[in-house]
Amino acid sequence: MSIPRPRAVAIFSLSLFAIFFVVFALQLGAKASAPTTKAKAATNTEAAPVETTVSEAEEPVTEYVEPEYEEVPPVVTSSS
Amino acid sequence: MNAVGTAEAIQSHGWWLASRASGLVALVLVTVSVFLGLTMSAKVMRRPGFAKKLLAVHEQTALAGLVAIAVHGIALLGDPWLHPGVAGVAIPFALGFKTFFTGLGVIAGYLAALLGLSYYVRRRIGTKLWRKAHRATVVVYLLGLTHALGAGTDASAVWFRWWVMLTTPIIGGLFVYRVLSARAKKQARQRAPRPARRPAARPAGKGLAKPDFGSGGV
Repeated sequence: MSIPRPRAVAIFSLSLFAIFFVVFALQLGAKASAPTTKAKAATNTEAAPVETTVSEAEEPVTEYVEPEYEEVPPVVTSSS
Repeated sequence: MNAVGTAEAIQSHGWWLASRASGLVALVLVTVSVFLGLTMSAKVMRRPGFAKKLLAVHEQTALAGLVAIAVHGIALLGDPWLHPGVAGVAIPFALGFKTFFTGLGVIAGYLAALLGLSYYVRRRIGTKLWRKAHRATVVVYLLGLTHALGAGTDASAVWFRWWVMLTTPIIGGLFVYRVLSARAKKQARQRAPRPARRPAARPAGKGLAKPDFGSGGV
C-alpha cells in the first residue's frame, strides 16, 4: 500500500519538526543541568584539593645568609 | 541524558524550540521545492511522466513550506524572552532582535506566500506574468538562507554549515544553467530563418471594409 503524496510530504515535515524539537530540547536540558553539577563540585571541599598559589613577591627566601660576627678582643684574665 | 532538565527546557523554552524547529523545516522544504522547480524548468530530467510527479511534489513541498513559515512566526509570539508581539513578527525590520536579518526573514515569508499562492490564480493574472513572477522564487530561498545564517541560533552549528555548503552550490548551479539555457534558446529563436511573410487571408466581413457598390445608402 502506498502513502498518498500529500500525506507523505506532511508526515516527512512533521517528523523533521519533531526530530529538531526533541534534539534541541535535549541539548538545552543538558546545558541547563551542566552549571548545577559544577556548583556541586565547587561546594564539595573535602574531595577537591585546595590549591594555593604563591606570588613571586611572597616567595620565601631560601638562601643561607651567614651571620656576621663581631671580633671581640680576647678577655684576659689575670691570676694573681 | 537529563530527563528533568529536558522537561524543564520544554516547559520554559517550548515556543522558542517550536519556532526554531519549524524555521529549519521551512528552510529544508523551501530548498527542496526550489530545487524541484529549477529541475523542472531546466528540463534536467526528461523521463516520460516524471515531470507530472515532480510538479506534484514541488507543489506539496511548497505548501508545506508555507505552513512551516507560518508556524515559525506564530510560535515566536509565545516566546517570553523575545516577546516580539504581532508587529515584530508581521512588519519587516520592526523586531528589536537582529533587526536586519529578522526583517529579511519577514520579507522572505511574504514573498513566499505571494509567489507560491499566486499559482492558484495564474489564469486570472495571466500565465505569462505569473511565470515571470514565479522565477523570483529563488529570491525567497536566498532571503531565507541569509535570515537563517544571520539570525538563526543554529547558524554556527557544523551540521547546518554542511547543509548550506551542500545545497547552495546545487541550487546556484541549477539556476545558472536555467538562465543560460533560456538565453541560448532565445538567441537560437532569433537566429533561425523566419518564413516569408504572406498576407494572411482574411475572412469576409472581418478586417477590411467591404467595398460599397452602392447598395442603397445615401
